[in-house]
Amino acid sequence: MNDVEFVVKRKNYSVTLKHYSIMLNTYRNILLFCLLLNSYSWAETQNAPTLPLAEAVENVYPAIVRIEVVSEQGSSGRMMKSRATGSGVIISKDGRVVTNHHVAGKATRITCRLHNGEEVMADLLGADPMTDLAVLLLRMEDRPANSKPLTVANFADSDKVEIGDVCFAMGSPAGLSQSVTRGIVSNVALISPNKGSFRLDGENVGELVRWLGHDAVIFPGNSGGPLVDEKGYIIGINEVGIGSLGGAIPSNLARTVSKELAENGFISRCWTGLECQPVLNPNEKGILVAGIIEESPAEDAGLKPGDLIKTYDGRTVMARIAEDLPLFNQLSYGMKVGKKLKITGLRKNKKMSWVLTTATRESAFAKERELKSWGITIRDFTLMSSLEARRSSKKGAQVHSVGRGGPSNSAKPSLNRGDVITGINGSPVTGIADLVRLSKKITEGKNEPVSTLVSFERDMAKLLTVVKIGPEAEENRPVQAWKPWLGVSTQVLTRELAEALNMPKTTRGVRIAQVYPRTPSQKAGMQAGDLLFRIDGQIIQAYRTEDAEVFGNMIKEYKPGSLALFSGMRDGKKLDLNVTLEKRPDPSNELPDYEEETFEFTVRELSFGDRVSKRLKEKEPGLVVENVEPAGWASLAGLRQGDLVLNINGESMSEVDLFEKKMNQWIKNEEKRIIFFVKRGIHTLFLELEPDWDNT
Amino acid sequence: MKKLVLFTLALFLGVSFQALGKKPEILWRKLLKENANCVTWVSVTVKLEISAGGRSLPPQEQKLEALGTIIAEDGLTVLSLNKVDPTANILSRIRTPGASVNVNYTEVMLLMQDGTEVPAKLLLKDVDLDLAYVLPIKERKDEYKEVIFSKVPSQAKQKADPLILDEVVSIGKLRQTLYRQSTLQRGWVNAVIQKPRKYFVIENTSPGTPVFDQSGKWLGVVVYKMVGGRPSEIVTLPASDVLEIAQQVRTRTQ
Repeated sequence: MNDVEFVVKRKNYSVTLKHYSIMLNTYRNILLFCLLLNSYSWAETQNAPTLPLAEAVENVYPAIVRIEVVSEQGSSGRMMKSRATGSGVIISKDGRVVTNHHVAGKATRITCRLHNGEEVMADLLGADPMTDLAVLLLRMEDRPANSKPLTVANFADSDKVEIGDVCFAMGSPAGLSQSVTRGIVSNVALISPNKGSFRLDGENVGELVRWLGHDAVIFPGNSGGPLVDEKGYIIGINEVGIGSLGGAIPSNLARTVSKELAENGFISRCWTGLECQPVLNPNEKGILVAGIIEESPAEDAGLKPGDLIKTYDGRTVMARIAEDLPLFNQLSYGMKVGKKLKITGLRKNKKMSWVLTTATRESAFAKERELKSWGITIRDFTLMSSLEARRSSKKGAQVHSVGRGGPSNSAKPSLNRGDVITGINGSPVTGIADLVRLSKKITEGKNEPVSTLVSFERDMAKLLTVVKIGPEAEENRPVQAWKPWLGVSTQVLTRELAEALNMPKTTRGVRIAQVYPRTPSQKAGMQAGDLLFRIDGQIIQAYRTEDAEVFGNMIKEYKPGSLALFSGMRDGKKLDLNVTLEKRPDPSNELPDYEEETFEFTVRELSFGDRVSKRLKEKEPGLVVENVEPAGWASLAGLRQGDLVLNINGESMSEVDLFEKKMNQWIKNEEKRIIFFVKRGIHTLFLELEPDWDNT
Repeated sequence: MKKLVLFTLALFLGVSFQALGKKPEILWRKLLKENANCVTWVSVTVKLEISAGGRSLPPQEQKLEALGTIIAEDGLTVLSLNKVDPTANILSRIRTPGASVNVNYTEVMLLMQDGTEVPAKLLLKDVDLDLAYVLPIKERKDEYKEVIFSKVPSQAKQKADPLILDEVVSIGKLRQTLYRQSTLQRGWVNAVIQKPRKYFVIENTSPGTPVFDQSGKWLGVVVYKMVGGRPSEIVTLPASDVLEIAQQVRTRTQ
């Protein structure tokens, strides 16, 4: 959800879930049937005692919150909004909530629903991808004055948790209301079986965390919810599902991280450039140095791959299996920044000693931003991302995603993911701030795209390109050729049909199936059921279903405004009707429309075809939703293409001009919510469009 | 002497018949030499907004290239609409009732033989006849002054309509990979459809290109025959129909 790698993982997981659900669907009914069939006799004969939740657990239950977030992630040159739900737990009276980073770490809007259904907006205090933890603060000032105080859950000492202990997983699985499942702790040092497979913002989550594995059932949506012991204390924060096991971040780690996040908004960690792995020889004691990042403190200290570390800052360290590594990483990353520490060990069986000075550990990736006028999302470099990109400095802005057909994609050569923009029109670009500033300067007051010379680096090559940045080019929408129109739908008079209607088999023509209102055909008195054989004396050569377009094509031979004589039969009597063919009504793509850029959707006025298909009266108001951008606020509110907008904030809508005027007014006022009353098929519904004005 | 006269006569007649036999090729080569640039590649960039089942996909852009026939001195060019408008193809793949495809043209360029790219606008389309009309646009009067648009030569008269099995030729241009070299494609009239609208069914032709009869007169433009809103067979639409609809470009969009 929060990172590319994680999405892959989630997708894999969803595939598993899909298979699981198929299996469930197949067997659920049988199982349910069996359970229902046996339940009565089972209850009677077994008289088994029920298992009530312990009072302590009941007491902590009101501390669970269901979290609904609107998050953003860069993709295809845009920051795509998405809606998700997760769980959290209240840990302080002033409204601090602990959850997962992958639930709320990239949220632009957070709403928490308390156990009693009360909804409270919240702000993100801080998030840490390495431990996948985030801390929110409920907007207590928004709560009604007579609200009950919050129920707070407390952390237990997770080091005391043992395999077999009873535990309760609490949260909102699949976005449902707060739920509890029961299980036992299965493992106290669960790690990801695939090293590096769980990444958030480029960070390897498994580096620091050894999860508490348990078999209390959890689903997506349980993430961030507490794992509670029998006394009602938090022993972990649910984070992952590995097979049928749940994995929770141990409470001791969650407590320290959430405290620091609440206080500072981030976790201060040190960086050494040391990469370790368990020893190859199980009889050896220590940690094997797998790699040293160039120009890192570890390299400066003289450490080399193959060295065996025995002590680290005076503490004996060892990693015999992968599960031992997170403990070493916690120790290593937890040192103070700038601290000189002593490391002892072996190199080719010779005793060695090194002195290492720790450096500040920056995050793996900087926050991604969208540059709309360029059609890209982009990131500044951090120390780690610049090292990963094998760059000698953090200067430049790295392209993360490019919109297909956008200005950067249309440039020759086009900008690609991973390219580093280093200059515009000869001015250096050291980061996103420069890029934004220079772009603004270039496009200010312009109403069409400006050709901009861009210097960028791709691997070792230093390239130039021209990107047309700025307002989108005016779109060209061609008009459709005028055609004459009768305003009926017809069916071919096939031989079988002609015979059934007591006419010779050789009859050729069409039968009118529908006469549209207010059309030339209606004005001339045509009726459904009329049979037409000739137009101006010419036989309508239609007698097979393949001839369906013959009649229409004959009409299209005329010019709009022409008078044509239609000959045929009605109720067995000869019929001759003179019809003045009118110009076909304007097609929908020629009707006035308006693209609303804040909420990201397009509406247009009703066409004749819309009124016929939606069975609307001539003057009935409404605007048709032509398009809804998938990641926009309108999409998040549930607006759908094809919806008919009847009114907005109570004001009837039938003209695009009024719509534009009103929308601009509401946007200017930054209305908290705009209510759309829409018609969808035979149903009507109210939709609440609630933008986050700070991020719009 | 008599033998010599007969021999000379026989030789003359032989050469004349041979010349007569080669006449269409000679004429067509001349036609190509003088009018090769009445066919031009047109590049369009389209922004597609596709919605189906109430959901909209993120807008996508596509770059398409198609052959067109220049039908007026100002560069008015006619194309096969299906080559520059993917709506019909997309809708045939989606097959969801109520699905919609909005096509907006963000860039239209006439790609001249010398490499000049002349900005243009797609002004009118006829979805029934598979026609799209493109006109160069000039920001200033003197812009693209050096560009000369080579109009297609005059239209064939109705009387000169080819009959079944008559030989015809179409001018085309190869793709960029083959340097947009001009081509002549010989074809035969396989059928003449009279009703409900006149079409020539001619083999070996490419949509958007002009077709000429044996006398080098412009017969029409190759388009797709539209059936139920979808392209089906390749046919040649008479030049008179192409020009008649072109009138709307002048009257409705100027």
